[in-house]
Amino acid sequence: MERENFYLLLELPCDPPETDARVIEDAIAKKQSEWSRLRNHPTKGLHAQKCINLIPEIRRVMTDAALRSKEAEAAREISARDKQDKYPEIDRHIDILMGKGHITPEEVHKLSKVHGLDQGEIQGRIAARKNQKYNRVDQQITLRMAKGFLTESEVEQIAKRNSVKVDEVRKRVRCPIKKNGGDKDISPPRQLDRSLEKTIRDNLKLLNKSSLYDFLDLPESADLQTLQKAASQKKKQVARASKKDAVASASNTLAGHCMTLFKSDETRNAYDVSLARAKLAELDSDIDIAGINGKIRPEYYDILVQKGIEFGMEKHEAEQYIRDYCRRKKWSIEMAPKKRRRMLMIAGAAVAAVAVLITAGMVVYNIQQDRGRQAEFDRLISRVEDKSGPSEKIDLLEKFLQAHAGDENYTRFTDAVRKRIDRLAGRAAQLRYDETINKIQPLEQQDKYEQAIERLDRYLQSDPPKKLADKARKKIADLENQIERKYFQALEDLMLSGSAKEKMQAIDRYLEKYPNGAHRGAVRDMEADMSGEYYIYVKTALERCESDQDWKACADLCRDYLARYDNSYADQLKDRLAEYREKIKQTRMLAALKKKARQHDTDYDKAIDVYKDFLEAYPDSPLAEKAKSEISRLREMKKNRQAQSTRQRFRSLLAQSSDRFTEKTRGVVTDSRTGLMWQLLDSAMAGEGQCLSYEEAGAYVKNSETGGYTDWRLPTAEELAAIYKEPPYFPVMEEKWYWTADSYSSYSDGWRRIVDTIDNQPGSDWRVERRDSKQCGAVRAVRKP
Amino acid sequence: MTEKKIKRIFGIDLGTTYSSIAYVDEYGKAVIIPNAENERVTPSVVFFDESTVVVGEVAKESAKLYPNEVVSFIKRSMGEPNFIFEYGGERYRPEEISAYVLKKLAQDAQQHLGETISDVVITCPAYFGINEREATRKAGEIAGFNVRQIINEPTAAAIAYGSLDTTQNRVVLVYDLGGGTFDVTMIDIRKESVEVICTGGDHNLGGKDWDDRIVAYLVEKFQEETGITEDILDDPDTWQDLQLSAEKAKKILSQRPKTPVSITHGGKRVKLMLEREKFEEVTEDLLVRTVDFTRDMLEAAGQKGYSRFDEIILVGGATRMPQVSERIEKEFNIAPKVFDPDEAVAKGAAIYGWKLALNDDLIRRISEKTQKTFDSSGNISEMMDTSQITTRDFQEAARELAEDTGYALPSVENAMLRVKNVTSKSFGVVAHNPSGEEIVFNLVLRNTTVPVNVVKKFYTAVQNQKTVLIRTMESETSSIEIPLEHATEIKTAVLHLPPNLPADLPIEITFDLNDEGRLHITALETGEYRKVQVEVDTASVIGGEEFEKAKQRSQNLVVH
Repeated sequence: MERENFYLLLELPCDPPETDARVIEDAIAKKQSEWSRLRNHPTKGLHAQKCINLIPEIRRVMTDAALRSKEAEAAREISARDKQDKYPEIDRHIDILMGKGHITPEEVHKLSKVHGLDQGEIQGRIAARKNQKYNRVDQQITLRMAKGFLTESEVEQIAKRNSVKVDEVRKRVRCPIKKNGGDKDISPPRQLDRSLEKTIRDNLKLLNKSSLYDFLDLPESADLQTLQKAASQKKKQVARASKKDAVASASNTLAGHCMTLFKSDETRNAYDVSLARAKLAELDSDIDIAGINGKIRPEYYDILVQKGIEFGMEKHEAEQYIRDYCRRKKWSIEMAPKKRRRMLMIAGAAVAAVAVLITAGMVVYNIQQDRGRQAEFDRLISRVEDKSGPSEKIDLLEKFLQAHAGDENYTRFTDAVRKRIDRLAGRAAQLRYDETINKIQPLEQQDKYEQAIERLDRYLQSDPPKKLADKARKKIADLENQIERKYFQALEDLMLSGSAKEKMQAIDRYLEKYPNGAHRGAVRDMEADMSGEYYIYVKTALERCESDQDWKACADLCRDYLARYDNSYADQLKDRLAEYREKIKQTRMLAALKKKARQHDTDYDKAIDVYKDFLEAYPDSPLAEKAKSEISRLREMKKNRQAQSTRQRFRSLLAQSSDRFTEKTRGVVTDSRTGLMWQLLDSAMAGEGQCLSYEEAGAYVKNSETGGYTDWRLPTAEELAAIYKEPPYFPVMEEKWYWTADSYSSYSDGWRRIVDTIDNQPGSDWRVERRDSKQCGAVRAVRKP
Repeated sequence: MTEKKIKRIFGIDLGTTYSSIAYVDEYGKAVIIPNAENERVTPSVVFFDESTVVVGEVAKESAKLYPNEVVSFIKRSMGEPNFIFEYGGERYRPEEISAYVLKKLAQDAQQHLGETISDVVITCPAYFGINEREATRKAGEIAGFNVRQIINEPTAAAIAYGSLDTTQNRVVLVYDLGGGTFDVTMIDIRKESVEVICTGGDHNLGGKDWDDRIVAYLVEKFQEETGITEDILDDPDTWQDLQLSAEKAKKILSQRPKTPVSITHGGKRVKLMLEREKFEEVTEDLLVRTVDFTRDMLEAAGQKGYSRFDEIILVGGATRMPQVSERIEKEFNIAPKVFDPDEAVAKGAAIYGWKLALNDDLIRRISEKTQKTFDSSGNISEMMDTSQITTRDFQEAARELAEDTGYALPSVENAMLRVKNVTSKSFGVVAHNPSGEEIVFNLVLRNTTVPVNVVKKFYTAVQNQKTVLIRTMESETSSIEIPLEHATEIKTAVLHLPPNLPADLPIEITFDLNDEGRLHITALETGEYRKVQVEVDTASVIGGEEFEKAKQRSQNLVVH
């Protein structure tokens, strides 16, 4: 029998699964206490007992990371399965395929593939579907049996509805058949008490059985003698071959019921009736929901009737059943009122929309009064004359233009205004130019050519008339020539005193600034003259950048020289440039590798993989050494980081715990209670391989030199338990189990070597777990001072 | 110098629902000692009331108000390693809770008699296995007693029954339906001995199951009347209330044909009339099961050559239900005798204790007289069998004892009573079958007379082997080899071998099942015949520090 899922049993979340050992242990302890309380509950006691007995297994599974994760997966599956039972779909598919009368093996294969079930199961379902005609007959019989008997007409009806013979139906009926109207003396059958029904149901549920017949593995049509015999056998089997656990108790109880109920036709009939009632329970629960407010609304009533019909009832039977049920519950049923003839209210009365369109004739009187316009223009001109500055005058004129834009009657005047504006604007521009020139004159005299150019640029930005702009541009060019000259003079001075680099930079700056400068030729000559001097400079600079391993700077220097000169020096530098290029390439690759490695941040394993991949691809690369050293550096970092973080975490745990455990020597924890010295890090934390077999564990402690001690050994189970099972506990970072010095060989297992192990889960509720010495575990070494 | 009074050993019936204590008075008659509430039986119910522990009727009544602070039916969980009752942050195992019941009995009895109670005989169902017995003994020790012996309830009942009339030998069927357990035992009662032939039963079948059926019926009725569909038993108050009402109703229905019961839950109240007929209907299958167990036991007895019995006696409170006697008579064609259902077991235990005390005293007297030293825990009749003691010495000592104490000489001579028991379960070890699968190899089959010892040889596998691990298992079957899953692991024994043993050296392991049904394992290496240290470990019974802690806790505790 499939056991219950522990995640579901402990009511722990399974998606994502709870993995915190403390939370899980708390849940177990809580449930243990809860089940212990329910141990003698009249109806839940057996289930509680079953659960109590499961506790060691629950603990075993839930403290083992691998088993626990499997359990979580199973829990998710169960939940998913519960959510969506896929059988109806399979059955539908089977029905379709059966339409032609049979199903071929290939189709079975296909079905099994599609639904992820094995073929046997599909076959089983097909058989069930084939039998469904009789199942339906049985279902209909069973439903009608709830009242304790069937009537002749019901039998006929069932036969007719399922196209089977009346005798066939009769054979399957396990209760009296009443003649229609007659046989008033058939008393309703003795009914099984509901509390008994529930007891049986609860116990069957515990065993995952659907009925007492199912419990005995017999068909519902089995005869009394067979049933009795099976019941007695079942009881003996339980007594003989089972522990006295909850399952056995439930089996015993059920066997007792079988012996009692399958004693006579009457008692069996009572049970069958109760079975029928159980099948109606689903409908009952629907009615319960519908009647939640103490009454059944008409639309609900229709649904319920439909549901009853789906159960295999006739319409009137379903109605009767629901009515009876409601009567018992004292609920009223609201019947639908007679359907009222629906009156079609056509509210679309014709709306007479009277649209009165009043066309308003507009009379436009166009009276031209030219005289008035002339007067307005004259007034404008006189006001313009009054203004002093041209821009103010233009303002006034513009306003006139705006006021009469597009008015044909004013064309004459606006044209005149525009002309006047143009005139005024020309005068204003000349004024502004003169002003600018006046301002730059003193700057020129002070050799402040740049400032002068700046001012002219600003002038040009003000969008002066073309003539004036050209004049300004010419002025700028003059000024620039002045600057170039000045610059050349400075360059000439520098050529006498500056360093090669300064000179060359100055030459470059000149050529850049004045590519077409008047002294361009002279500057070029200067450059050519510097080929020897500059080479000496480049050579010294190369030494410096080489020592800095700044290959790019080196290459740039070479390139720079080559761009300027083509001489024997240049030939020398060409070779060196090739070398630098290679170096740059490698550096880039290394940088790329490093960047890639760095992206893994503290995931040193992945970072190491980057270099490993590189080495694999370019085993002979000049970078190989570098990559290797990078790998070992990362490894070191990884180890340090692990050990450090482990140590840190552990130390903080140690600090949080009581003062029982103190780290007196580095890496060694002393238990003030026993005086024993423990290694701060266990074998797994110390990073010396994730887990060890018992033999390796022995070697590990032998070779251990933590704190400078060489007499480390495996602890006894008792010693280990003393730090983990008695408060204050030794800090625990992650759950694991440890080898102890206590090993056995067990006769029952063919002298397999068994070792006592202790897990590090704190708590007094502990036991030694025995494990095969080949298993893989951790070591926490101990020594006696 | 001879003391006039002999040391009293009290008999305690530690029941699932009720417990009682008895002793043998100066006239040699077994008497129940009433508790402080002047009741002859005390409900085995423990109520944790903040810092105090209350046991008995008050605790039982408190269950309605404080359902989560009250523990009942703890006996059903004896030997269950994972049963934990939590209260006030402390965790209690069944042994400790049972100890409180024992303490209450003893405390009240001490008050009543004005003497200290130290030595006791405690009873347990014949059907208890090794761990449950061990747990019962531990409960006594936690309560601070010197537990002289754990004896079977039907045996105790048979002793009490036998003590009434010692002239007639007969084979008796003891049908013991207690509050929580059912035992059926065939016992051969003779003048000089009480011998158990066969036993069977179910330690999860008792009066409580009848109560539970009433509870289930009441719940159903309540739902029917009120239309409430929730499980009203989810409410601990309602559960406890119904449990008590059900027990009362059952008791009344044993006297009268019907009784009114009222059910209250969530402000709704339903009153109904429970009729005996209905009660019998909903519990019939339980009765059928007891009959079936009885038939099974008879079958097993038949295989041991006992094909008939003379009487059926009914003990245990639940046999008061009239349908029990009716059904038994109908099934076995013999009118059963309802024999002191509530008190027979405690009284029988007291008589047994008294005989132990007489036995001790006689040995002391004979030892003084003959200047020989005897094993103080020895059995006088065995000593006579082995001629360590002469009949004359015995008779003289018996006469002196009778004179000093005022007991009748014949009853003193009866101290020689021998009790022979059988084991109710088969017991074996885990071994491997030829195909390498783990199986249980049974060393002692159920219904074997105890004490019994089985010697089994195992061989060392490697040189200088350190230890051997033995897993002992208990089961209900009568086959030699059974699958592992049909048995329950009871103990793990570790043999610590002496150093430097060669490989392939036979180790003789002796499994002793004593007359109490307790298991001892001893081992001997056959090289130099040194004793091997055996360490037995079981999680099913309280032990180690937990035991000491419980003892300490119990010592500092006054039970009310």
